[in-house]
Amino acid sequence: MNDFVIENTKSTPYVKFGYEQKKLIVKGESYPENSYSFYEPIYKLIDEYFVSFDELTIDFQLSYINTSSIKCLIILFDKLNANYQNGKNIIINWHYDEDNGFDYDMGQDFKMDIDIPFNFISISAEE
Amino acid sequence: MKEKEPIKGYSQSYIKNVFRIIFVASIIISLAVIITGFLGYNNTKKSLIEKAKSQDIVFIVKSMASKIDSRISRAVETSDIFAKDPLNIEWVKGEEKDNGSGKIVLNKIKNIVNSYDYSNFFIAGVKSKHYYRANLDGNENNRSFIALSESNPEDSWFWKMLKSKKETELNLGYDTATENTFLYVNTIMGSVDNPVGITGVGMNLNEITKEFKEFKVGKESNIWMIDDKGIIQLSDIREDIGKKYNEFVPNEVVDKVENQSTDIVENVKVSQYSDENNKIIDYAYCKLSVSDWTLFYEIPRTESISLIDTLKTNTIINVILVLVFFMILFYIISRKIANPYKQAMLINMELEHKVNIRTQELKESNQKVNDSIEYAKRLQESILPCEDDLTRVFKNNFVIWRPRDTVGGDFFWLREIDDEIVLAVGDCTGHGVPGAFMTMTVNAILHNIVTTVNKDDPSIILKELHMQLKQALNKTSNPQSVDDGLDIAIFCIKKKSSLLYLGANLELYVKRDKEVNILKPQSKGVGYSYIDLKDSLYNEMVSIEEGDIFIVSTDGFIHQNGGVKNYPFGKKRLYNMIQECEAIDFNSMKTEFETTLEVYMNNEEQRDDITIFAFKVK
Repeated sequence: MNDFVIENTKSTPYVKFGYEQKKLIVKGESYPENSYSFYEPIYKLIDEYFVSFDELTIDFQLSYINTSSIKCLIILFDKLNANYQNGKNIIINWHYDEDNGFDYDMGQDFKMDIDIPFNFISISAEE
Repeated sequence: MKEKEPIKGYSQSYIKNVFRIIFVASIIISLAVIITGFLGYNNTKKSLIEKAKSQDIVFIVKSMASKIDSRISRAVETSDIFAKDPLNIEWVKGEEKDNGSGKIVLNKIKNIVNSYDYSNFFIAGVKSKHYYRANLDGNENNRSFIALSESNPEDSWFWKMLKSKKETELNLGYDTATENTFLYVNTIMGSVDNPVGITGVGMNLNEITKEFKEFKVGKESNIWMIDDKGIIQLSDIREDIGKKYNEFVPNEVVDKVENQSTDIVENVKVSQYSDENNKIIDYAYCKLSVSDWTLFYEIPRTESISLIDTLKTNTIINVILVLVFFMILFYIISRKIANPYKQAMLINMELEHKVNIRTQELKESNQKVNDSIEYAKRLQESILPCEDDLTRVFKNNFVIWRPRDTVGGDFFWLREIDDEIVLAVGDCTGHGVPGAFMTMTVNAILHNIVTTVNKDDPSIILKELHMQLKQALNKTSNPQSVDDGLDIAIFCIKKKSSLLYLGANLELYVKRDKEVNILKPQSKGVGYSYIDLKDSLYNEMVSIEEGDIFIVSTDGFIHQNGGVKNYPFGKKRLYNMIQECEAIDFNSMKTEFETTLEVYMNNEEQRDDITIFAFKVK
């Protein structure tokens, strides 16, 4: 199965669904005019993925997410949470920049509502 | 207009290709023109030679030969008729003594000379040896005669003729005094074995010589009548007469002429030889029918086809003209038509014109939309509380309300009912026109709630708002409906002593002296279908102290990107900004907040609608 890749634009993040590495990467900024049309294909991929796979690591690094994208991410997290509760092995890595402050808070908000292991990783610590 | 940019890459190689094609085409066309010219010239030359050989030269010789033949045969006929006339024979037999007959005979002679273009006519008797002659211009006595003597060399022809046993004899004589060539046709009277007299005509061949001149084509051509001994007897050039023609032409020609079959007269033969200068000379010859004489004509080829020189010049001029014409044509094509830069400029101008028209159309339609939105802004502003109401209700206050577009989803709302003040600051999802629609809906619902349901409990108002908004947007019944909602902070301020706050995704900053407290919201939002409001929402109660500053900000402020890494402003910076603000009056506080935002944004675009509402109750 080929990897699914969406290159980033000014208002949409880079998305890569790596089937071999069992990894989903979402990186950049997210504030498209129509968030649903951007995230809908990803929902579909996740549903299909968990039919045949049991394991997924998701790396988020989002320096900005607008309100409608937040709503879309909430739906995404609900989906993942449902799979996690069904016994799928899911890990979320939330990369943030200490200089930002926005992304860490955002992660905290998301973490509150789900049961999936949620790791905060500082970008400056990575470097 | 923009400066001309040098043509690069594709267009340059395109130009190269165009010029390569033009170059190759020019060479091909030049070759074609030159070959066509060369072939045309050669073919014409060939056919000219062919024509000269098979028609022109032959025609000259044939017509000259027949002229000479007819002239001589007429003389022969005349002489023959006269010789066979019985009266004449009788008169000569009687030694010309019959005066009656003599008169008639001599008159006849005279008439023949005068009526036909003979030079003279004579009759001579064998017995009497008397020679009677009538000249064309003579007026001598009819009876006079010359007595022929065998010893006189001038009269030797008479005895030769008698001895030759030929019925008719043709002699040529050139008179050096008059420069005339004469042909004499002598005929035996009676029988060859028993002649009674000789009669004959003398004919000046000057006329034929004249015709030679007329027929001659070219300056270097020759036309000769050659006798059986190879001597030139007739020629338009007097000096040549009497000479042997083999002095003029090579032996091979002489051989050919002499070996010609005598059976076929007037059959013209054409051939060619090269002279000492290697010039090709065409010649033609034919036997005359009346005697062994030959008519010979020669002409250098250069003269017979002198036309070809003109043709050569014309062909060269044609070729040059065609080449020049094509060069001009290609120049024009390459300059005016095929020049890709010019083409591109033309296309560019055309497109620019189209773009201008489109731009104008877009401008107009954009203006329409903008006008409409400008009006929408007036409507939206009309639902916001006016400055007077705010200053009456609060001790101090300021609002920064900056929709990203002309209209937006942020709003603030105020109602004063008795001593109860209800304040709401909200941020509906979306911005621009859709956001503004939401604010209008929320505005109406809030108005409805505070007038009919509750005016002093934010939790009730929030629950009511959540429910009514879902109903208003048909979220329960219509699956197609959008999942929109809002963030909101609701305040109920009682008698200016206590403040109740309930937030949905909007925090309340309370600045008391230098300390800033953050009161957290109870819900993530209102109106969204995914939100189930807790039953036990509780209001935060703040007993107001003098100088307390309450600040609410929608997420537009913390979402605004900028700074070194172009990150969002963030909650931390907002908190610091509020805490560090030392401004005493609200106006300078507003200015400080605006400046901080402006500096952070640098030149980045505004990302979301921004609203900050700050107030002091007492």
